[in-house]
Amino acid sequence: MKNGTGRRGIAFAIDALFAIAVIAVFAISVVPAYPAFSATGDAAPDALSKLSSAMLRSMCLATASELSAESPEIAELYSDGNLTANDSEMTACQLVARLSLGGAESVARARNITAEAYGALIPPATGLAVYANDALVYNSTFEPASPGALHSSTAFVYTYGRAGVAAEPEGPIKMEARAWWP
Amino acid sequence: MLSAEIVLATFVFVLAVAIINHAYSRTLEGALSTTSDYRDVRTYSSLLLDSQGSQPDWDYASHGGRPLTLSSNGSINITKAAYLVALLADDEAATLSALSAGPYKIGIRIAGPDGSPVVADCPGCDCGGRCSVTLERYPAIGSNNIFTTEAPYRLVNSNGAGAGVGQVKLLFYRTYD
Repeated sequence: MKNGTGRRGIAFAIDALFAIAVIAVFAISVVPAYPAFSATGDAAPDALSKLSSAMLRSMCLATASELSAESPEIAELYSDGNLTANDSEMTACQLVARLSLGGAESVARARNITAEAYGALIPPATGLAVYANDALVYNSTFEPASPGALHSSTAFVYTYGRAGVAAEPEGPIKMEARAWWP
Repeated sequence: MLSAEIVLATFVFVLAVAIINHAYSRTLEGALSTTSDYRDVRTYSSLLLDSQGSQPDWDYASHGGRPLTLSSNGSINITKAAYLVALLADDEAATLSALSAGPYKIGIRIAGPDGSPVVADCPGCDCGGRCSVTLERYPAIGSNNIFTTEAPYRLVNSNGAGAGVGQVKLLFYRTYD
């Protein structure tokens, strides 16, 4: 009777150990797969794509006059006479592209305009940069050499000028927006 | 002593079966729906934010059978956004059905450069009797956010006039229970 009880005890103990082993195997191999489903990481490239393309499209649709309330730099271009009512249809893309072809002061104005109009709209934990003809105009944060993910959108812009901004129509100028996860 | 061992072994075995069943069913659901979730929310997000060309017009009162887009020629129409927010607030189930949003719930936030949600006018108080709507809405709690997209967009009024730029944030939720 005592031997029988001992054997049963061993059998139950082995059964319990087997059950614990099965739990451990599933905890290691199956459960970690679930967060991979619920995380938004898979959608990250799409979110970056939307960010870079929306940024470029917004810049190429919004006019300088629309953004003058948000950008003191644009307001100053108007007050200095470098932009007039005749430039009301000039887009932010055209203005930034044109300024980026000028000297250091002109490039600084392009950077200020982009920062003032769009800097606060860039989602947190996201980096964004604008380039004109492959030259950096603006970046929200330093672009790492190997970002976690990167998406780039490109548009070609034809621009025109006025005294103080540009002398002749010019283009095409390659405008590029890059978005990344730091 | 023996009965205690039996109770312990039975408890452990039942616990193991319950955990395995739970983990397997969640994983199976994920495996079956991961691809379609990603594709679906991309589709809905693009329909709402990135529609191109001329879109059928719709408003709060007449939206049935029309694509509920927010974009017009690349800009976000904040009056359309007000219609959508008002529709979601008044009858979420019917609105999600009109969007063919399947199992998803939708959150939206359109903020101006100062970070505050935009308040959009509704011509003729056409947003369920409201004359203006704050463009911010989140679904009821109890859902898991599975997709978020946010980006700067050019904003336009109902008459197409530019209203500056703003941050548009769209969130998709899905309940698992």
